[in-house]
Amino acid sequence: MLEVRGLHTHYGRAEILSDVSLAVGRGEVAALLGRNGAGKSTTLKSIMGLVRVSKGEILFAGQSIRHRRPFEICRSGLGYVPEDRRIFTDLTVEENLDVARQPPRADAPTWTLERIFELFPNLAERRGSSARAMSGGEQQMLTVARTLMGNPRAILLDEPSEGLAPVIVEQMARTLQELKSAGVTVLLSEQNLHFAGLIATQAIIIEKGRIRYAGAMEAIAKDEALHAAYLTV
Amino acid sequence: MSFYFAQFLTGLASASSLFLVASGLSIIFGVTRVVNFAHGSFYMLGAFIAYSLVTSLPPGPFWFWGGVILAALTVGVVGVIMEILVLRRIYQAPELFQLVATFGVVLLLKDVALWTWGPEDKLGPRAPGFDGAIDIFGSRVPEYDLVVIVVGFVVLAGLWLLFSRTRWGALVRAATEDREMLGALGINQALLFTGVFFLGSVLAGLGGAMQLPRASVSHHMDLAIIATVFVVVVVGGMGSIVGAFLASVIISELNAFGILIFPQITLVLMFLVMAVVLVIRPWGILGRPEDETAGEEYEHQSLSWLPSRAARLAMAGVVGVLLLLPFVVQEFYLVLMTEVFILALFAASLHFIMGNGGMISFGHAAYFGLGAYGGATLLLYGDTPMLLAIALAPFVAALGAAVFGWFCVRLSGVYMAMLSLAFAQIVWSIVFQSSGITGGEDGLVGVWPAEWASERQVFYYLTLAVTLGGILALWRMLFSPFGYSLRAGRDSPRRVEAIGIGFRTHKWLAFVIAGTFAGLAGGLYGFAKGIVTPTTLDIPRSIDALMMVLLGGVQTLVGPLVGAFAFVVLEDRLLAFQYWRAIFGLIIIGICIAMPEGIVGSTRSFLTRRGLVSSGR
Repeated sequence: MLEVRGLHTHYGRAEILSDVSLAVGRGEVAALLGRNGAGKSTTLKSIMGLVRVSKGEILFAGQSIRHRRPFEICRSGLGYVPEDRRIFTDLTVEENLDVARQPPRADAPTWTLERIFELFPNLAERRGSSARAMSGGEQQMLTVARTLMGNPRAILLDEPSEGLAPVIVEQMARTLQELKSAGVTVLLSEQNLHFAGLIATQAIIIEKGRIRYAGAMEAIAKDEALHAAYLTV
Repeated sequence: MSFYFAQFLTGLASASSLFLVASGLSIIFGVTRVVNFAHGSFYMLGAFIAYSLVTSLPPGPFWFWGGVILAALTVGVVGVIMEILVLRRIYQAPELFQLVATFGVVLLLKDVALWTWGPEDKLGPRAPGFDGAIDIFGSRVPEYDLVVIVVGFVVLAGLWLLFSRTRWGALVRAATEDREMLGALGINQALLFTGVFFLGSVLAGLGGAMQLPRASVSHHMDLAIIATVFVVVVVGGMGSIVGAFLASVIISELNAFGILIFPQITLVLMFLVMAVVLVIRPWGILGRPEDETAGEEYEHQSLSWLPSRAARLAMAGVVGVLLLLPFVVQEFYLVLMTEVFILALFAASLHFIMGNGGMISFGHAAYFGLGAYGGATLLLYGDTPMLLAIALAPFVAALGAAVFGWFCVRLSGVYMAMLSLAFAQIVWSIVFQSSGITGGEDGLVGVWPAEWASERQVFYYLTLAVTLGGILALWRMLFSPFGYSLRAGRDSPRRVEAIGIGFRTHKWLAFVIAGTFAGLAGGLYGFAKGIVTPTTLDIPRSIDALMMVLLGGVQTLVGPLVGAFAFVVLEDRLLAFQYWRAIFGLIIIGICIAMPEGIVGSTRSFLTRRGLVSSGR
């Protein structure tokens, strides 16, 4: 579904990503693991067209999207949930969802406000209130819900569990499970191995902008040496 | 009592018409972050087009209002053309470039209007059906004023509905907050921006067209309104429609009543309101505080500017050539080069705060003009010898810069730029209105150099010596610890504060220094021209300085000097043409699009790419 080949990305003269390659199959949930500053967010931003890629190829549903602009990439069915939430605080909850609305797609689940509110009951209660007034957890739910309004075939999730209370993290995991069973492809970046283990089947480890390992999530969960080398602080 | 009510309504009518224009600018800025200088030109264009339409269409209310609306829509299309052809190419560039590019459009449209409608003012017809006055509590109020008030309220309500009740409105508000995120959610920014430009320009055009029955249509409408509109938008809060409305009412009513009490200072009054509001609420009445990181979006590439040995030798070579120049060229070129030197110092002083401190001033001409008037008044009223007058001129400017700078450095980014413009307009108004001392519009004449310096060659050498000294002094400060802290603060104000540097005081000091050297340039300028007029401190003069700095390249040391040279030579060549402004405007737009790093910066990048010079900068 999503394939990245030999991606290089620079910020100024500094190379952030070096020869990054990965592949996520249709309906699969893959976790991009690594420490702070390893290049997880940059990988997702590069795929989404939010930072300029210097070299490499990005294929989504068999088509090259490297030279497309973010809005075109989104319209082709790839959703993006940013790390720092970036909800529109001037808008109400419902308006936040409404601005992200896209026409339905034949090969992806269609999300309506009603369905979103079923999945996120908290948001339903606050649909008319300003997004600014919501708690961090609710804001995180809203960013995910907002991206779903574009009826994505696949989504890029940047550290969805970051800074959330354990209860909310579990709620987020259940939400992602539901997305998975609806057939949405997911590539998520994570530092929280436990959270990733709850939903991901494939694990990809990135360190210093290079892919160090890719394999089954279960295998990684058991491999202490791998943790020590790339994941623990 | 009734008189005051009538006066209140007059104020409200002006407020309403001002609001139409200001709301358009505010919407455009809120979403695209472009400070559209050409907005005043759109207003003027609206009035001219409405004049043509209304006078050629059949009489009667239907065609009158049809003409007004058609004029507004036409201006909307002009705005869209500008957005697509010019701005879309430079959204990524620093905001200053967009500003200067839109100033290029101002020049272009000025000549387009001149060519299309001729130089005379046009007097439009009165609005059919509303050409009388009605009696309100015993005072006569023009009926059309009431129409304007109603239209103002209708537009306010319409915009409010549009922004709060439609998806497009929600998109615009979302884009105001985070346009990159909106793009990642599948919204085509380009289309949204174009739509916003259309709406904003239609409002400017409507504002202009609605003026037709109230005042004659003139070629001065563009810059006359733009300063006021800037003030309204900044006082109200950039991007806030209701804020723009409140500010329009406050400023117009102050004007309407201020004129009864102090008719001399109505212009000053408006800018005082702005200064007071911005000091209390730096982001305007209903605006939101600017994101602290917003100004740091683009990379400042060069922290080490110290010229290499080769570059120093080259500079020494240039100075050598300049020293020999009087022996080889005609007097005319000496006069031209004298002006180049003066403007180079002026540009270098602006560059000192802009390239170095990251402070953008839209009103740097104030200090140039203060220096020029300072020197001239000392000479004419105090019989001060020329050299002493030139030496004292910078102090006059420094005094102004100290007072205005104290306010300006409290703000950042666009707000600071606008406040500096407002202060420059205060100085301009005072100079313009105190004709007893300053000669008003005619200026001060007879500012000639002393006997011993009256030869062109002598004055040339004098100017060269003074300006070179000034530029070297500025450069010396750039490479002192003071200069380092300024650049460090430009790149990260918070970190600089964290290591114990009072950045605001540094900025203030830098502002005063920049003003002082601009004043020195101004003092020389008076003697070089023999006359000092209000144009030495008007808006175009401030923009000239910005253009010289940008033309040369902000991120370079010699940029301002090369920019001043290019500017003077270009202007000299172009003045031969009738429509020189249009050509000049096109050149400015072209440079903004093609050479965003300026002449020196782009040349350097080109050479670096070719491997001809090291990239060490």
